[in-house]
Amino acid sequence: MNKTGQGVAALLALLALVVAGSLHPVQAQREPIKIGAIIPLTGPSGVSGQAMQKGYQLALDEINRGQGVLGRRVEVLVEDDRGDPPTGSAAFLKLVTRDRVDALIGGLQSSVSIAVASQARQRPILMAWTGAASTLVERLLAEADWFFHYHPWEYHNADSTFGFLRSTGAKTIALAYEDGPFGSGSADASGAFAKNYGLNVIFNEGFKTGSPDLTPLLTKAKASGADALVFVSFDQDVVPMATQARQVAYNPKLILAAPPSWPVGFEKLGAGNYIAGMAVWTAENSHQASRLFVRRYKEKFNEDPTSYWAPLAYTNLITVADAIKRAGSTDLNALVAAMKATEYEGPIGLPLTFKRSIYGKNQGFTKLIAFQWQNGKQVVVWPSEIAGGKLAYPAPYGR
Amino acid sequence: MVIFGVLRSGLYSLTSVGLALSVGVIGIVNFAHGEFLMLGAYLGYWLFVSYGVDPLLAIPIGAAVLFALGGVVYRVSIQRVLHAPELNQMLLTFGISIFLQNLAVILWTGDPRTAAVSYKARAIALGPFTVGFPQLVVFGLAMALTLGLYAVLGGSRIGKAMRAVAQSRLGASLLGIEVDRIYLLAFGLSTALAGTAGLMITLQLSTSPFIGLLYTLKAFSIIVIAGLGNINGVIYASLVLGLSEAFVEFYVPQGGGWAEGVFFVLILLVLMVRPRGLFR
Repeated sequence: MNKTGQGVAALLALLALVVAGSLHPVQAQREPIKIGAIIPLTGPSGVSGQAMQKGYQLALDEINRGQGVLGRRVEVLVEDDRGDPPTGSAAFLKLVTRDRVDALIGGLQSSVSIAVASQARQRPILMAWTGAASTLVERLLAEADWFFHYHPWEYHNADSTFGFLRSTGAKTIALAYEDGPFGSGSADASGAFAKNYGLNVIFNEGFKTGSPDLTPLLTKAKASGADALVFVSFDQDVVPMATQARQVAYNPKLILAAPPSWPVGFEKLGAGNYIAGMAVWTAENSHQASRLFVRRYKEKFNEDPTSYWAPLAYTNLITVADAIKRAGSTDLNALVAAMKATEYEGPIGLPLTFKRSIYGKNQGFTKLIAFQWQNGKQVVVWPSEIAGGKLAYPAPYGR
Repeated sequence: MVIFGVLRSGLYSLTSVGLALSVGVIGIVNFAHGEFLMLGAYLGYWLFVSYGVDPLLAIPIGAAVLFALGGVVYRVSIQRVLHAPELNQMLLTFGISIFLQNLAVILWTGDPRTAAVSYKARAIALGPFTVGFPQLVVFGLAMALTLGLYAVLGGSRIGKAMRAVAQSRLGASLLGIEVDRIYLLAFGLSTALAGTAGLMITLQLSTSPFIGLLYTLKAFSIIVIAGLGNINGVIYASLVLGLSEAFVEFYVPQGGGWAEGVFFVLILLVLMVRPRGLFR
């Protein structure tokens, strides 16, 4: 190679070094914003967790369709907690220490959230938490400024549930609950709330989730003669409850069940007709943003959204992305300030802001709506201002 | 209370008799028994949802499919550990259980699924009592299948061969019995019975990939109460468990929460007081 050639080669090498050096910060800037999600894709709450994942996918499509956030793509790293506290705890450590996520979303079962909360207290990070209704979680993170909770707490659930029952005219209640943190927490809160609304809980008994035979429990509830049965448990338990109530000819004026999700095919189960439920949202919600969500969900997944966890998860990710945008960075203090200023009205159909709750600093939604299964549809029956149909009360069970 | 206890013992009996066969004839403790039940339940669900086949009519299909699957599992894995230490056998069946459970999650997700069979919630009056029609059917079926199995074991050449193999593998082979074929048959029958129990779950409840463990545990409790490998004692042991659970649920305050622990207590009591089983 002659001297000119050597000079050109040296210049090119220098140019390559300069370009490589100048590209580095650009690439760093284009690193995606990483958000970790801890949800149960399998296990007893797998249906709800999978619905959440679909909600995240819809939100992510929307966020990344444009410029992303702060000119960066948003990436959601999903970890399956399987509804198992040690797995949830390990997922938290992985996301925070190895993946170095900028924020955490998700959360469904209280038992898992308790395990995650214990870890989070040692390694604060923005936790925008959808699920976990147990106040054990709220108390564990009472002083955590960086913890934002979307789902109503169990006392909000109880308040809405007994408010609805009061509106039906029922006077006495039989309460059957699964004896894990989800059911027992709700049962503990029930007595006081029932009293507030002038209702009397005259039967109160726990059972193990997954029990194949609930007939003794239902027979005892029947013997109590209560106007309404309130059944607090997971999706796998509502089928034996509904069918076995028919078999023991248990026909209270109303059966109200509150699983986080309903089993696939429940809408076709005759014994499920006229059973009422409490939810953050149903697909029959007439709010414009809700209808748009339902349409997009059907387009993307070719199925109807049946669980409120999908729009709740969508709301979860959209509001976190919006807070990062408003904060202008992923700095924790800036993010917390931006989250606190959240004002959002999306598919849930209710305005979302974060306010103090009994123990926690940042509580989102505080109300549930009531619906009744009527010919395979979840017809919203309470509160009256958003009701899409009339409550059948006394419900014509067994007729 | 007695009626509920007796009726629930039907499903328990159907679930346990296959496991008792596996323990009694092959001498292997199959931790994946509940997962074969789960696969039977899914088969029943998909046959109902896709082709409208009633779970009761699906029993021959379910039993045949699960028999074939059991045969494959035996040839591929169980056969290879028959002479291995018991711990290895247990670890293998435990591994099969985890594999099948996760396979079900991958194939069908974790969603509980319910087949809306028209008579799922039907009840019939028996004097002053009403009882669930599906539970009554399952009880009748369990009794018929278990008694049928007794008859086969007691009266047929194959049954006698199975009993001979159960008593002495070496002795049976010296008499010209093809021990390996008997094992294959016994394991296939065991999984076919688990699959049939799974179809009965479809008839009454919902199914998910995680239902197997509870039934495996209860089946273990029943075969311990009956005496390990004692197929004849399974019906009585199922009645003991069903009635004990119903009794606790009815008469113990908050009994619904305690009832699912009854089988642990029974296992403990039997192992301490009469380790060879109550009905041997």
